[in-house]
Amino acid sequence: MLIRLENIRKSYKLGNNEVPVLRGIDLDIDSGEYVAIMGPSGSGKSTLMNIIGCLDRPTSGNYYLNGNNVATLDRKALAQIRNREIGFVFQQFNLMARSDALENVMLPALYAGTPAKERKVRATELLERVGLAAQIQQRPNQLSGGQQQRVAIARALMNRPSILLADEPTGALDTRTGEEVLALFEELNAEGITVLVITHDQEVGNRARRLVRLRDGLLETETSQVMSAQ
Amino acid sequence: MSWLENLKIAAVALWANWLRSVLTMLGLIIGVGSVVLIVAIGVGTQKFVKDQFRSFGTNVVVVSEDRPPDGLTQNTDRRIKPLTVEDMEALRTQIGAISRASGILSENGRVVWNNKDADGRIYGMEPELARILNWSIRKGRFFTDQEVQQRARVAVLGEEIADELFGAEQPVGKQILVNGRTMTVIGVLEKRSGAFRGYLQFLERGAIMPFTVVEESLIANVTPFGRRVRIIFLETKPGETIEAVTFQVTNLLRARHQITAEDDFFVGNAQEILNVFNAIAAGLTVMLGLIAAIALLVGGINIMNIMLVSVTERTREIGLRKALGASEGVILAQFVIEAVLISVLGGLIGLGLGWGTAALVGALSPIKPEVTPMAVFLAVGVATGIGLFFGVFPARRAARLDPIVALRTE
Ligand SMILES: Nc1ncnc2c1ncn2[C@@H]1O[C@H](COP(=O)(O)OP(=O)(O)O)[C@@H](O)[C@H]1O
Ligand SMILES: [Mg+2]
Repeated sequence: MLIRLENIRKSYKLGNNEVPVLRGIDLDIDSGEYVAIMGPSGSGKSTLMNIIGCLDRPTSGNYYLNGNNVATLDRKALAQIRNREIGFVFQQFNLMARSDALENVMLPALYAGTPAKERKVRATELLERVGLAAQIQQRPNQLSGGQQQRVAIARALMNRPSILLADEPTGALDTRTGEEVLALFEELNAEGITVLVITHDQEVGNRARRLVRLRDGLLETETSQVMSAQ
Repeated sequence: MSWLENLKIAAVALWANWLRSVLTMLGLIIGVGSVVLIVAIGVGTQKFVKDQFRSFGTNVVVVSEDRPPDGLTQNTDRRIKPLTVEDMEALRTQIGAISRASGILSENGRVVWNNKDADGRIYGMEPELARILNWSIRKGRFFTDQEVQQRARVAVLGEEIADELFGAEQPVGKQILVNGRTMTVIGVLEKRSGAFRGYLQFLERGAIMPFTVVEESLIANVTPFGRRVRIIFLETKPGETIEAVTFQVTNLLRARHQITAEDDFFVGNAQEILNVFNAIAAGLTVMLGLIAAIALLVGGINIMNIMLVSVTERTREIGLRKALGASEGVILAQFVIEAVLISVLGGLIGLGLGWGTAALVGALSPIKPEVTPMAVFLAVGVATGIGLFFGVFPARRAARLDPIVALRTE
């Protein structure tokens, strides 16, 4: 089991009140799966993704990643996991405004200590792979939304992670470019990367092989989907 | 992640907001600049003073009368005896450590040429003194030892009195009357400028003649104790310490002047004056240095302030870097390096500015400020230290940012 969540709870302090956001999540994800997590806005999707992505810790419950209890890891080890095991894709792309596409893609490898030459070769390959061979030296403000999200995906793939975590990756894109991004995810998943997409768009959810619904901090029914797209 | 890569990231971040970067540095630029300038001027001043005294020689003891300036009521408790030619002779013959003695005689005088006359002062001395005191001649020459022995009737005029009498005419070679005696003008003194002008200003209205010539004509300055000498220069023999000679001179004069309480003369030497001056200069440099150090401190706090603002502004960027796998150590290093880079740049600019100002001071004044390697080293070292010290706090804040909170920030 790649990801195992056991009774994960998360609450935030709001003044004197503890506001529960996640109220006992159990979820297992196998290596190579393509899972969509759906739910209305404010239902705790991002919170869940941040926990899975080791950006945040649950208030209680156990999270095993590759069989390791994440709670036992220190901040440095968590940073390393984010760097090597997980690739993040955000709704707002989150690119470095002052860096060009190539530098953005290379950034995770910089933190991994990859030699400069290797970094550059791999980042160039990835940008070609996502169809941006011509935009390598362009800055985010010179790129369209779809192009920016593809740079972000290339960046997420830089250190060959086993998990791709995408939080509303099509939320800021029009239908056609969103479609391109989803096609890319399917391709990557076919190559063996575990993909976890968070969305409140049913269309996007339907593209995943497995759909999980989040409501009021709990997982609802789980639908196993036959490949509707194929 | 290598230092070079970190440095590049820092440089990009600073360049992206260059105006703010300059403002961040400003305090440090001013601080380092003023430290460099103050130290340079301090060193330059000490050199300048040393140079002024070099020709004077540190083996010379100076004796002068110690009395209130003319016009002030004299302290009646002090019976002041003048310094005399006899005092000088006694010092020369009775103190073995003294190789030679030379004095300046002076009296008021009337100088006449071609029906024009001028009031001035008459000085009698030996040519050696002009060398010791570093006087220079504008026209003509100074008189020689031989002329002193031969009681040659020659005179060197101060510039002011020469101009007054001769105007555009060439004074050298002309016959003048000095207190009724005919003298040939053989030279005109150069007017002094700069810091030591005041100390030689009395010469500007002077007629300087061989000691022997003035000695025979002294009327006004013959006192009940003998012929009055303004100032006596004593040269010590090689190997004698200046302190010992100063002590012996003081004792002998006390005996001769029958001093029971306060001395009516002053004995000094160049080394003493130099020491006092150096002490004053060093004290001033330390004081100004302290002020500059405060400026440096303010510069450092300024850097910390603006770095804190910068961390707040870049919260989202920091969150993103952390999400991509930057550890706390990497973020800490990034911001510390940024602070150090900005400080070193500020330090270098300050150094350049201080150096430039020092050069300007050097071009406009007789003091030549000197930027020593030590000052350069200190300026850059202190700047780096300030960057490190004041950069760590904001950098720690950046490193500790919770990535979730950071990413949620707009
Ligand atoms: N750091 C936080 N502090 C306080 N409340 C938070 C924080 N993060 C999320 N929340 C709250 O938790 C709830 C779920 O947020 P989120 O996981 O972002 O929902 P979703 O992504 O499904 O829209 C929201 O009500 C949100 O306001
Ligand atoms: Mg969300």
